[in-house]
Amino acid sequence: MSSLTAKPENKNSAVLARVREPDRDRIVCRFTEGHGELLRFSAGVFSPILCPRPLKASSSDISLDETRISLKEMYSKYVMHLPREWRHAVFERVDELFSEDEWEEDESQPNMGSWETFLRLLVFLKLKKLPSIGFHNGYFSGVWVHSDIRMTIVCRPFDHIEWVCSRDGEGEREVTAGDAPLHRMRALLQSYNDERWLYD
Amino acid sequence: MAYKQKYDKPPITEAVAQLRLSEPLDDTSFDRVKSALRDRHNSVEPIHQFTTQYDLQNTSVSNEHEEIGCKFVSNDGAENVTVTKSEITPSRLAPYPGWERFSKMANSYFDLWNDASETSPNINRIGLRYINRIDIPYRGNPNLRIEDYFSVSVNMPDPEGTIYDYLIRMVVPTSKKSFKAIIHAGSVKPHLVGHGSFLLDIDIFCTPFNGDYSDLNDTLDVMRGLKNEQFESFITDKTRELFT
Repeated sequence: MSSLTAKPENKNSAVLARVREPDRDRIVCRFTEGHGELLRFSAGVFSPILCPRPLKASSSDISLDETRISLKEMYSKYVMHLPREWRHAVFERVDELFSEDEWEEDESQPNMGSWETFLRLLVFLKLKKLPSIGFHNGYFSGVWVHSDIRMTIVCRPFDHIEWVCSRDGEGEREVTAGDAPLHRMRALLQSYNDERWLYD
Repeated sequence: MAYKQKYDKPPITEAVAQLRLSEPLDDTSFDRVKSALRDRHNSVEPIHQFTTQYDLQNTSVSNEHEEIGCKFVSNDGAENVTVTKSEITPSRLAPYPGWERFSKMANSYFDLWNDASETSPNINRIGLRYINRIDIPYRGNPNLRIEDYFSVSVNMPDPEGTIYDYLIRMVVPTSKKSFKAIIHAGSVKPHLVGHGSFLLDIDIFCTPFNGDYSDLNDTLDVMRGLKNEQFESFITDKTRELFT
């Protein structure tokens, strides 16, 4: 018996496959939902491939419990690159955003791709301070406020970032906005004196 | 060989312990196990098994489906335990809390399983598996030399040839005769911007297990030592620097 991992076929589970050949005339394939491991069966050769844990896709029939757990499981993939003390704060915020009390029935389920981009952003920017975490229409955002500047970074799936920055000065408000791939963010934020509000 | 065993930022994404029985639990014992685990967890997911049989002689296909167990998940999603009638598999996602806490957690599930059984379970296999993901920065050079970071690599016809993706699976002996290791080493989807990510998955196992339940704790301690030996033997100092 061998085992390997693959992308889940169904909405919220990975598939564990076990393949047996009890005799030459019969092939038995077993696929087990749940714990994330499985195998590739090709030309009679079983080759194990690696095992990312299942991502829970956005779907209206996923409970808030499952949502909270999926978001925290995703955080665990990045936790070794983030300040230790953030985990508790992030989990508290996740519990708050997706609590029965706060949740509106017509709100979109969180997009896991957005959450992953958000976590990748946190690691990429090497921040010293955790931003406020926002959630709207299924997407996550980070919000920084520092005296006259307010920066909102909205995270879309696949490392796509949108930002809005407002600055108050001399009785006027200046608002700029844009979008860019995640890997460009450090360079782009420099034009907003990011040292002042991002790393302070 | 002496190794530094504790890193500030261990690359462990998941630690898994597993007991497998030679005979599955009876229904009453299994229900007792599930009930006890349900008391400790809010989230329970059923595990379904789908079986498809291809009869090549009669060219027929048949399908079956059954619920074979449950996965219990902690509130923070980091700790879970999967049970079927013949296996119990506690697992811990990152951040890895250290061996003391992990083994205590795993043993508490094994004890619960043992206590709920009518007779002492006859253990056939013990497994201890650590899945590591090692994120290596490109630092301006998009070509990472695998051998700079890992002691196992891929020999290419052209020594300077490029590899986009690779995976090696091997079963190797350990320094203790009764234990073997299944190793998966390869590249995985990069998790960080400007980094390559690599898998080092180490599964120490012992089968058949000739001891009884009271030997379990000591056996797991031995396996942990073997896991560390394997881990250290597959990485280089350049990789170790990434964890400190």
